[in-house]
Amino acid sequence: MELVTAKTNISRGVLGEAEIIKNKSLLNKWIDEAGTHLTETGNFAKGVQKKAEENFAAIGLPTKRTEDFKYTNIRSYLQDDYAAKNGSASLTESEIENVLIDDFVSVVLINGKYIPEYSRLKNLPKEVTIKSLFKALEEGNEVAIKQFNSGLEKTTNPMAMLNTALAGDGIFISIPENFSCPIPVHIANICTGEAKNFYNPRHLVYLHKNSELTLIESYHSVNHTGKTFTNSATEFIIEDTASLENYILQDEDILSQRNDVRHFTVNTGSRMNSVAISLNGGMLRNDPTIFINGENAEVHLNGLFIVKENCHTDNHTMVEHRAPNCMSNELYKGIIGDNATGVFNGKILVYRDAQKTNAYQSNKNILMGDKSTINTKPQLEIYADDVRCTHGTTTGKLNEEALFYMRSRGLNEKLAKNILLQSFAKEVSNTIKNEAFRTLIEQKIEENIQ
Amino acid sequence: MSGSNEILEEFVQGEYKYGFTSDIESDTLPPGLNEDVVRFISTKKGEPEFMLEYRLKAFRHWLTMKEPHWAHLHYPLINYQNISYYSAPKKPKEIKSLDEVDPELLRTFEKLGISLLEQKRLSGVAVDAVIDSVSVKTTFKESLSKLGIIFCSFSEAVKEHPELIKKYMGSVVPYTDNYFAALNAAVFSDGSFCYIPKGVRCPMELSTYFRINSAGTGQFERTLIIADEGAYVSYLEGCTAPMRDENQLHAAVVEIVSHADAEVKYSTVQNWYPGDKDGKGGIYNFVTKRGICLGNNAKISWTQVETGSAITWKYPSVILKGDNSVGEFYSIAVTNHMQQADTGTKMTHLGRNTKSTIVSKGIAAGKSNNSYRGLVKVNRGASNARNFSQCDSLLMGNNCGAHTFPYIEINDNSAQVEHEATTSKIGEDQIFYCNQRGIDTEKAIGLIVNGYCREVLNKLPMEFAVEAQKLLAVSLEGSVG
Repeated sequence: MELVTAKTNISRGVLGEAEIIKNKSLLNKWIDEAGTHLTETGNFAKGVQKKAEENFAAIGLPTKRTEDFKYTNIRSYLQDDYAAKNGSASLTESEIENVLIDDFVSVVLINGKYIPEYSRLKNLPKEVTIKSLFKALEEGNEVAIKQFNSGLEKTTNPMAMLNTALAGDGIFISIPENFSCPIPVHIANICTGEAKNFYNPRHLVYLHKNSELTLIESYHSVNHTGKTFTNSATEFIIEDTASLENYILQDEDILSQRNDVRHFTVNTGSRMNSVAISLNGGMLRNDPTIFINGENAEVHLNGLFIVKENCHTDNHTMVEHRAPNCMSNELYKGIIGDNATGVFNGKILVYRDAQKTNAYQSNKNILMGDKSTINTKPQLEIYADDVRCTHGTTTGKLNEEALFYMRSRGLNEKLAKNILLQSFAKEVSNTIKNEAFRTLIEQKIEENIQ
Repeated sequence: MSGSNEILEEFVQGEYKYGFTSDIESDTLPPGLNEDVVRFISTKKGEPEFMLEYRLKAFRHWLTMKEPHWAHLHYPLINYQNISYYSAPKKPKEIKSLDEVDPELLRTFEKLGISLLEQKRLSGVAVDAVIDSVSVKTTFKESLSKLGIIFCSFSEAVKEHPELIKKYMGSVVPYTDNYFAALNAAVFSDGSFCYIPKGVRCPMELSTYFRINSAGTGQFERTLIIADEGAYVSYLEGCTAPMRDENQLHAAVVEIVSHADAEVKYSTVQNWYPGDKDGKGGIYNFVTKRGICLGNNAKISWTQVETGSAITWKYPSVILKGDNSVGEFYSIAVTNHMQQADTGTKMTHLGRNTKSTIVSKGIAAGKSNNSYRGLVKVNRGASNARNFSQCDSLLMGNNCGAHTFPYIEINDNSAQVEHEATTSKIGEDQIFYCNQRGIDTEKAIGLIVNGYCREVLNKLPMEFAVEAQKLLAVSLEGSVG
């Protein structure tokens, strides 16, 4: 099928020879610094990594002139002197305890690396595979080898290329055919480390036909002593009629800088719901891309971002409707205070063949601080005629009349504001189906609104 | 829905109705661009020294710039050395009455339905007719000058009102602004100049008809409109161009300055040759249009109906500098066959209590691509800024594309900004409803499209609204109504 190139993706022209050499040398420096490599897992991985290196060298790190990174200048966070590291560190029992959630299967990742000693898998059904991605590749796990990099192979995102080139060990989850995982899997990501550490963990989640999984991810910082940069990438492949619930809580400290690439491949009749709650973190960029490849698929993408102090949160989403009769629904809400900056850049791309598409996108923002900023860019790129696509975005402050109403009934200003903000946030948190986690999220939101 | 498919088919096949060439002898410069060409243009027009300096500065800056390619447009590279930068109808002497105007020229206007004579006698619209870059005739100049209104060709203004030109030219669109604006500043041929003095309400709609005439001649107009304190003017620009096989480049600049309490309403109907149905020929239209609300309570309103051009690259903008100033943008963009349009607006809020409204209606048919690209920017300190944007797209047929690229940058927490966009096709149930009531499919589509565009059409001045409706009907004839 012919499709006019999505021109906004080709953000920069071809680089000169000198710049390519510069990119290569920076990449080589990072490759040398990182201890373990993807290439060690087998011949297959060598080819993948080599290709990614070339691709990255040809475009380099995104600049402010890169259209997709227009509002997040990666260069101001990730400098050349950052040192590529691999995950793992030792933490105390109580530090781990703090981030785990009872009743769930808990998988602990430190800077993206899977630490079995800290994890609690005793309630995990034996059908479900959870292991180190590198180990799975080394062992010749067919699913892992077949699916690894299948989503990001043709990516135009330089950060995704960089992740593949520098890939560190991450987690591999596979759910077998016709199996519905009865217990949510909770991945606790702990970020720790010294100044200028640079991590590139890589994960893979595979849902076989007609399977179901609730995957909860939470991000925390422990013993963080300086600004670190994490450039993680996760591929999700959802086979026919499978269903994924993916909830994310981002609650790191101000020293944490994270670029989170996610690639979802959604096949015929499958369903996914992703809810990202971003509460804290110095710099945070969520970059989910969803390829709807099969008919009758259903995609929900929700996000709430609360940004404070001098922090920066960017939500860059891409929904590609490549098959007919699918629906996607996107809702992102932001509360931006102090000197913080919030970004929403959502794009819906409907291919010529994707007739009868229903696509919705909504972004609502509240600016709380005198010096807070919001940049929003909701985009539609549509090549099929029999579609219904809408997007809407609003930005404003809290409704004065609503505040007045509550104050006239005896609520003080702080409380009145709180109620309004909480109800604003609820629209997103309500899309979390797991009750235990939703309650936790609501608590967290309440704490962060104060 | 075979009926509506046939009609769509017919629309897609529909040919350009205004394709004719008028034979007027032109004094044309050979293709190519260098400093000598810039000097030649300036000398030819008998410009004062400051103008030549400005042109040269712009030209030297242009040389350092690169052609922008960020828009959602695909076209072969333009060879700027292959374009002739000057072409003027041979006019040995000044014209005092219509009788002296080339009869061929008058016939051209008649074909376009804007006979100067008729305009002058019946409608009370002063027409500053620009054929291939040189103003041929300015009507109603005398009656306007009684009010102190200056409405003349740009080159005349350069000679007669150099102080105004020096003060305002490039103040809104500096030659450093973008590639095409720089090119225009270097080689602009002519255009219109309009100055409305303090407190004067211009009694008639001012109008300019642009026509691109000589083959292979780029046309580089420059329009400057200044409304002094408390003034009001409604300005109309309308375009049709004859059929051509090669692409013609058009890079115009329009600058509007609206002082305190002044209001400028700028309406455009653009119907240049869009190329044939295989995308051959057609005008490349790269226009920089920008207005500034300099004083408090100033207002600038852009209304455009874009049906022509192979490539449209156009973002009429408003800088809301004065407190309580208002910016408006109403647009209908129709693309068919292989046409590509990337158009929208920029609203920059700087003053307090500023308001802007954006209503954009895109209709894409054939194999065309129609994009809305807009920026709403609220600077820190622009308290209580208010913006409302609505961008709707209508897709007809399965080979076209409709895109929306809004950029919203807000740095002030008292701002209230809303944006919404929808993309859909004409509902079969709507057509069915009309059919049921005895309205045939063609008329039904016409009715629906007209209703869809009504919000914008209503903003056009009376004379223009009729024309625009006709134009929509013609562009969508045997097609979408």
